[in-house]
Amino acid sequence: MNEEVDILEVDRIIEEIGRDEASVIPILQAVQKSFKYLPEEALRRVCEISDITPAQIEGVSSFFSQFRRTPVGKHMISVCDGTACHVKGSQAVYNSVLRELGISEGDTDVDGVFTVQKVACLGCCTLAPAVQIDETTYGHVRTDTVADMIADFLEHEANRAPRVAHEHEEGAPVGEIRVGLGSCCVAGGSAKIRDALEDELDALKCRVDIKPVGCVGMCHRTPLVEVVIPGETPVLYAKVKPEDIPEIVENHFKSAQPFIKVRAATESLLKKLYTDASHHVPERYAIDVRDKPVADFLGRQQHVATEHCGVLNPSDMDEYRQLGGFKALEAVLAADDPERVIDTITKSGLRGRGGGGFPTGTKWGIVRKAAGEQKYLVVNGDEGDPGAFMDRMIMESYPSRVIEGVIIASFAVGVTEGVLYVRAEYPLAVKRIKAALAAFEAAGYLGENIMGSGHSLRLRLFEGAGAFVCGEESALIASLEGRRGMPRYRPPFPAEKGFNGCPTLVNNAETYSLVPWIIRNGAEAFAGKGTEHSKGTKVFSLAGKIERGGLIEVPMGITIREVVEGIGGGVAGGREFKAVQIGGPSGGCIPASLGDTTVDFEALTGVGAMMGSGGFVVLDDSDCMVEMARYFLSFTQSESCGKCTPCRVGTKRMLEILTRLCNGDGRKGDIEKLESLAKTVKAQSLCGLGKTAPNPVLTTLEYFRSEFEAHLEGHCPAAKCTSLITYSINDDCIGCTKCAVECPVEAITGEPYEVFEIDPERCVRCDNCRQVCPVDAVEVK
Amino acid sequence: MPDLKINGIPVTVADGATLLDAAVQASVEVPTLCHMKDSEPATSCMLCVVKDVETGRLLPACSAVAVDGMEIDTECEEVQEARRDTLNLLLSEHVGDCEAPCTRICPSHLDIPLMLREIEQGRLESAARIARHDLVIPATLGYVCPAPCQKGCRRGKIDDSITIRELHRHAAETVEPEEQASPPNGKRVAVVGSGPAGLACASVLCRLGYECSIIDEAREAGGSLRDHQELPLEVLDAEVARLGNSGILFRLGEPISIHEIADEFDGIVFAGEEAPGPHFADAVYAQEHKLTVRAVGFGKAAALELHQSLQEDAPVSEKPFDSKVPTILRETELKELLKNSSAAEGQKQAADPADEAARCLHCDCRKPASCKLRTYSARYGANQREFTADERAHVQLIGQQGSVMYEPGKCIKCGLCVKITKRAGEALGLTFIGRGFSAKVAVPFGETLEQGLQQAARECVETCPTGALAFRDAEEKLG
Repeated sequence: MNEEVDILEVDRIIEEIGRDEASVIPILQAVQKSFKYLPEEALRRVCEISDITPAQIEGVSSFFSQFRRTPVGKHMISVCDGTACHVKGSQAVYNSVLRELGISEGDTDVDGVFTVQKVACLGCCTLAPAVQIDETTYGHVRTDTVADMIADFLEHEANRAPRVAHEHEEGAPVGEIRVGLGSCCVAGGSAKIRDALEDELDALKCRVDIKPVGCVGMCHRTPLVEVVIPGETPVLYAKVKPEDIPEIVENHFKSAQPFIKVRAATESLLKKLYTDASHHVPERYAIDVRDKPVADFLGRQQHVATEHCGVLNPSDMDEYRQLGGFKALEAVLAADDPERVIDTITKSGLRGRGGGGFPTGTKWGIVRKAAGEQKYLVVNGDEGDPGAFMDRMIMESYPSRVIEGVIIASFAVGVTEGVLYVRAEYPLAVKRIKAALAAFEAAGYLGENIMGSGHSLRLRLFEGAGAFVCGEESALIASLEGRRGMPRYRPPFPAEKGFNGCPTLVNNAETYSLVPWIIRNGAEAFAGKGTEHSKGTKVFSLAGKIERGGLIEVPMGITIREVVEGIGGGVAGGREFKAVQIGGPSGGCIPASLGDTTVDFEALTGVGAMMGSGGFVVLDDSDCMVEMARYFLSFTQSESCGKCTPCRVGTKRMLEILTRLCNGDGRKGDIEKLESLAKTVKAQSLCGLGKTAPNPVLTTLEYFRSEFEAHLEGHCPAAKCTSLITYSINDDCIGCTKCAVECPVEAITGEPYEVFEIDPERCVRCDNCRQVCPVDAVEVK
Repeated sequence: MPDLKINGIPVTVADGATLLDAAVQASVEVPTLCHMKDSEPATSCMLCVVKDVETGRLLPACSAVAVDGMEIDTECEEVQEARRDTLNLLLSEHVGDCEAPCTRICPSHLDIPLMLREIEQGRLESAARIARHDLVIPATLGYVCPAPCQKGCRRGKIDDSITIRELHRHAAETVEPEEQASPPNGKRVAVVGSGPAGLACASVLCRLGYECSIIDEAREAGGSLRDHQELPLEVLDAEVARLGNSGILFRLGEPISIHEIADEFDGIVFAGEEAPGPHFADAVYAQEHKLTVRAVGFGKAAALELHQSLQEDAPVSEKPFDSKVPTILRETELKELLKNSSAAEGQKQAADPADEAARCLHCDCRKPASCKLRTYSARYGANQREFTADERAHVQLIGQQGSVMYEPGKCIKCGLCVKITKRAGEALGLTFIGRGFSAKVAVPFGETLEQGLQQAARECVETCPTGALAFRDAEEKLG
C-alpha cells in the first residue's frame, strides 16, 4: 500500500490554498482529493512548508469524518444510515453489502476494489434505504438487491463514456421539458433521464429546451419530468425511466395526436408507487396538480423559502431575476437604511431555522451594535442531522435566494466578509453555490461596491469536513479557524466574539433564504403566517414510514397529524401510525396520541422534542422505540466532540445501557440509571449537542416506557431487535425455494413444494427471506 | 465592575472576570481539573459547576463570566451531586490503581512500590525511612510477617512475586536509624500495652508531637511478639530501642492504675487483645491482633483517632479514594506493565536487593497524593462503580524507561498537556487524535513520547491533574 507520494502535488496545493493555520481543512481536502486518502508523507510535507504544525494537522485530520488515513478501494460504497434509511433497514443492507463483497475485517475487499462505509445521511431520505457508489446513488435498496446493485454499478462503470454536450437547435423552442435535478431526483435517476431526453431530442431534431429545475419536493415520486408547451396544461410525469422517454417525447412533440394521459385511479396508483416493489414496475404515470394526492401534498404547503419550486432553474440567474429575484436586495440598497432592514426582520418575527429559534432580528441588531471594525458573517449549511435535507435542498435549488439573503444581512449588520459553510457531503449544493457565487460576482452583486451602493461583500465557500457538532456555531467557527471542531462556552456569543475573535453573524441557510421574501412582501405578510411566537413557514423533510415523503414547507402551527395524514397521506403499507421523530438526534419521539401538537418552537419543546433543523420522520408500529433511542444516541455519541465529561462519557454509558437493552442483556436498574444519566447529560453538557442528545431517550422513556420494560425482560414488542427475535416459516409456505436461494448463510432448508425450515442458530436475521417470500410465510417473533 | 455574591459573600470583580475568579476573590474554593491559570478556559472537566441561584442553572465557573447582581452557590446539594456525577463518569473510564495491590493488601499500608524504587536506585536510607514510617517495626515484621502483600504482587503473575518482606527487613537492618523528634505540641498521652499495636500507636503519636508514654506491666516491650519462635529478640529489642530514641517514654514493669493514668495524661489509648472494660470507657482502643502487621495497622489508626479527638482543629482526614483495576490483569496488560520494570520477563527472584527491587512493575500511581481526581473523588464521595463500562479499557503504558510515562487509561482529556506543548513551541508536542469518547492524547505521526516532549515534559507532568503523565521514578509519598 506504500505507494510513492508525489510531494510536488502537495507543494502545488499549498501554493494554491495558502500557508496559514486556517487553511488546514481545505488543504486536507485537496490532499485527500489527490491521493484518495491522507498519506503521512503528504501531511509531513504540509507541515514543512506551511504554518501548520504536526499537532494541528493530526488533531484536525483525525477529528473530521471526511478524512481517511488509510488507503481506500477503487470505489467507495456509502451506505446511508440516516434516520429514514435506518428505519427502513439500512443496517441489514450494510451487512448485506459486506457479505456480498466478502469483507469480514476492515472496510475494504481483498482486491481493493470497494471500500464500504456507513454515512450519517446522504439526504435522500425519501429513497430510503439509499446507497451511494462513488457518484451514483441507488435508492430503495434491499438486502436481496445488493448484488444486482453492485453488478449494475460495475457494468455502467465499464461502459462509461463521456457524453457529447447537447446542442440546441436553431429557432424558437416549441416547448420545454423540466427535469428535477435535486439530489433525490438525481439519485432517483434523473441524470440518466436527461441524457435520454437529449439523445431523443437530438435524434428527432426537436427544438425543445431541457430545463433543469430544483427540488419539486415530491421526492417520493422521483425522477420527475414535466412537459410544458405554451398554451397547454403542463404534464408532470413521475418515476420516469429512461426507456419511457421516447414515448413521452413522441407523444408531445412529434405525433400530432394529443397525449392520452394515464390517470386512472391515481389515488391507489400513488400508494402503489411508493411501495418498494413498485420501484421495479416498468410503468410511468402522468400526474398533475389537480389529482387529489398531489393536491394534498402540495396544496397545504406554503412556499416561501421554496418559492417557485419545480419552476426555477437553480443555476439560471436571469430566471431568478424574472421571478422576483434581487428585488429585495435592490430595494434595501436603494433605501440605504440598515436599521430599517433589521427592524423589518424583527417585526416579521423570524426566528433562526437551525434549531435554536433565536430571534433573527435581535441577533442582527447585536452584531450591528457590537464594537469592532472587522465583523464577519457565516452561513451555516453544515446540516448534519441524519434524516434531514432541508438545507441541502435549499442550497441546491435556491442558491441565489440564499446568497441574496446573505447580501441583505451583510448590509444590515455592516459586514464585508462572509463564509458559506456547506457540508462537503453535499457535492451538488457545493457545486451550485460555487456557480452562483461566480455568477453573482460577475454580475456585480458580490465584491466591491455592490450595485454602486458603496456596500461591499466578499463571500467565500468553505466545505465542512463532516462533524455534526460543527452545526453548533462556536464549533463551526473553530473549524473555520483551522482547529478541531470543539465548541466553547457561550456567552460570549459569536455575535459579540466569533470568527477570529470578531463579532460574527451566524445564521442557518434556510433563515437567510427567507429574508428576500420578507423584504419583498413585508414583515406583516410573514408574521401573518404561523403562530403567535413562531412566525412564518418551516421547511421539513418528511420521510420514514409515510405514503408521500418529500421536502415540504408548511406554516408554523400546523399540527403533526395534518402533516402526517394530510400532506404525507398517512402511514405507508397499511400499518399503524406510532410516532413521529422531529428534530433528529436533538429532538424527540412524539407519540401518535399527541398528534394534535402544533408544529412550532414552544409546542415541540413542550412535549420534549424540538424543532431542530427540520427532520420529520414518521414511525409505524413495526418500529421499536428502544432501538430508535439507541440509534439516535449512537449517532450523537459518535459525533460528540469529546470535550466535556458529561457528553463524552455520559453518552457512551447511556449507549451501553441502551445496547444492552436491545441485546436482551439489560440489568435490573438499567432503566432508572439510563433516565438519571440522561438528565445529568442534559443539564451539565457544555453545548447544544450534549444538552439535547438525551432528548430522544427521555421522550421515548416518557411515552414508551413499557417497551423498555419489555426489553429488560428479553422481549421486543415491535419484533425489531435482532437479538430478541426469531425467524420461522409457517405452514403457508408453498415451497417455492426463493427464501433458501436468497439466504446468505444457508440457514433455510427444505424440499421444493414442501414447508421450509429456518435454523435459528445459523440465521443472521438479514430479513432477506421475509422480503422475498411471495406468500408472507416468514414470521418474525 | 460587577458586584455579586458567592455563597452569600459579596465581592466586586473586574469586568470580564469569571465566576472562578470571583470565587477566588471570596476565598471560596471551587474544584477544577482542566483549569490552568493564564490560559483560555477549557470547559472540559465540568467539575467546577456552580449554581446561579436566580436561574437555577448550573454554570461552569471557569468560563461563565460574572454578571452584576448574580448570586452564586458553590456547594449546595445540587452542585455536589453534579460534581459527584462528573467524577463518577470520569472514574468509569479511569483505568488505573491509586495504590498498588501490594500496598492495598498490606494491613499496615506500606508504600511498597516507592520503597522498591528507592532500593533499586541504591537509596537504602530513604527506603528504610519509608519502611519505618509505614510499618513502625519493619525489621521485626521482616521475620514474623506472612507477607500478604506478596500474594497481591502482579509480578507473581508473570514469573515470581517480589520478596517484599526480605527487602524491607534488609533496608531496616542495614541502615542505622537517624531519628528526628517532631516539635512537641504540648500534650501528653499514654498508650497502655506495649505489643505491636501499642508500639505503632505510640510511634505515630510521637510523630504528631505528643509526649507519649507506653505503660505496661510487663518488664519488656513487645507483648506477644516476645513469644514468637522465628523472631530473634535482639531484632525486636533494637527496634524498641530505636522507638525510645525517637522520643517514646517506656514505663515498663509498672502496675496500671486507671485513675492515676487518667489524671496524668490528656489522652489514653488502650492497646490489648480485648477491648477495655467499662472503667476504660474514655480510652481509644487499639486492638492487638495475632497477625502482627494488622496489629500495627490498628495501632496507627488508633493514634489518628486519638489525635482527632484531642485536636479540634486537626484536619479531618478524608478516607482516601481508591481507583482500582482488577488485581489479576490480562496478559497483554502485564506486558504493558513490564515496560515499567528494569528486569525483563523471566528474570527470577534475585539475591541482590537492588536487582530484586528492579523487578517491581510499579503498578502504583505516581501521583497518589497530588492527583486532583483522587482528592476530589474522596471529597465528593465518588463511586467508581456507579457507571460501569461494558468493557474495561486496557492498561496501557507509553514511554521509555527512566523518562516520562503516559498512561492513556488515566487521562481525563483535559488537554492541558496539549496546550502546554503548543505554548512551549515543541516541534511535535502532543495532540488529540480522534474524536469523542475514543479521542486520545498522542504525539503526532506516531513518534515517541520523548520526541514529543523535548522541552515541556516536566511542566506537563506537573500540570497533569491525574497520574496520566508522570515520571516513573517519582518519589511522591502516599498521602
